[in-house]
Amino acid sequence: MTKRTVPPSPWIVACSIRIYRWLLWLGPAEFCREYAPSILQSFRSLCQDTYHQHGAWGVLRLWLPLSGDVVGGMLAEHLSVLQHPLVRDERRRHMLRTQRRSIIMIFLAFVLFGLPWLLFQGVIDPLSQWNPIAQAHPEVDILYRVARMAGEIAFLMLLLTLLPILFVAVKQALASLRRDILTLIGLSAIMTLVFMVVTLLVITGYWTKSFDPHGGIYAVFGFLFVGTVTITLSLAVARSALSERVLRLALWPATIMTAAMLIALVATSIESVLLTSYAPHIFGSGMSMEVVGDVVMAATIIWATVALWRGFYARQLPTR
Amino acid sequence: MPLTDRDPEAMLPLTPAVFHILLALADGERHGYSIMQEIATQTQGKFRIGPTTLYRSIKQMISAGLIVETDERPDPASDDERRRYYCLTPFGQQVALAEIRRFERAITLAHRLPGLAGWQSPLSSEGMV
Repeated sequence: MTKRTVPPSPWIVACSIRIYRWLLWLGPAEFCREYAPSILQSFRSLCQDTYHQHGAWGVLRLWLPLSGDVVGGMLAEHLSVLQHPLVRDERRRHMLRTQRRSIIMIFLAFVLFGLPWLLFQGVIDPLSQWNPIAQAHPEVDILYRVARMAGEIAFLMLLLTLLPILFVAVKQALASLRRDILTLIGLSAIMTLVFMVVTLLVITGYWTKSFDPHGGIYAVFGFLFVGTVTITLSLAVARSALSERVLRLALWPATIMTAAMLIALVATSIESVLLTSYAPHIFGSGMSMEVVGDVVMAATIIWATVALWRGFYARQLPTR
Repeated sequence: MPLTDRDPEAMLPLTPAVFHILLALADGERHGYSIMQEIATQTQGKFRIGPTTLYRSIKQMISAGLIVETDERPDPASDDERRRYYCLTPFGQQVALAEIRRFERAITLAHRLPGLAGWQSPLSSEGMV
């Protein structure tokens, strides 16, 4: 694109533009940020055309109607801002509510995605059965690793989405003494701590040797942990007065999380197809579970994508 | 509620500025100063609109769904890239037509009123209708 050279403005035009620019800042900040450059550009074009047709006197005569236009217009804009705070507040509340719901939906989508993903991760168990397949068909092993890494990235991104939100929510709840929010987040934190201790006991072998040889109690406890944390954190986010900036910022790691979930789904789907032909015995009678898992994972990705779209476009969505 | 489901009659009556902006955009997209010039041309200079009133009206019309800002430039090579172009939405067209019909009904009524017996449309006196 060729850069056009702008001829210097005559003094009367330059002076008029400067005064008009000052007058424009009489208006509300939001209106000025959005429209002042365009208003000034139209005024500049008007002044330049008038100067070429009628000279300096023509520009001076412009000021009679235009001073009223700018001063009156800016005062009227202030009045309209004051007149419609309720409408604006309602729109803003609706937008923030939509964004909060989006974050909760994305969180729930990940939790539902995580269950079939964990199921697929169990395909390598026992290793004695998996290793010969991985050696004979390295592409299957690569796909398994891709799915695993994508799932781990998705989990990290979920933490990046939720932790800043929870930090702000706790900070606000402490400042405003919101006991309900603090209780919900506290319950979630206690549950996480207990689950971490139990997991440590499982890893060291103490748990399984002492009273849970098949890990059934640990599995039930795991489901209880996931359920409690999901419900309490969702309620805490829904009740918190989070700002648009915090919520919008959280949508970016959530976007990467959804992309990682998609990669994990593609990798596990291809891996399942390859394993069906290379080693059908590995699924045993659980092949239908693999298909159900793929469908659930695909559904959660669609769910997360819709939630992301609603979060990013919450400002434009109509209020009901 | 989707904009397309809205009743254009509910937007009436329009302010003169909004009505003339709708007319100025009737034949395609324009930038702010071009709208001001078109309004002056269409009204033979009898109605002029200042830049502040223009953009205050544009703000209201965008939020009401009558017009939208477009990304395309009619002639990108010769145009100032900072200029913002606007065009009518289908709902904006419906509202403009509804306002014109309202004027037509007022004119028809004016012809029938005995108190305005000598009234004559300026268009008919100029031989335009």
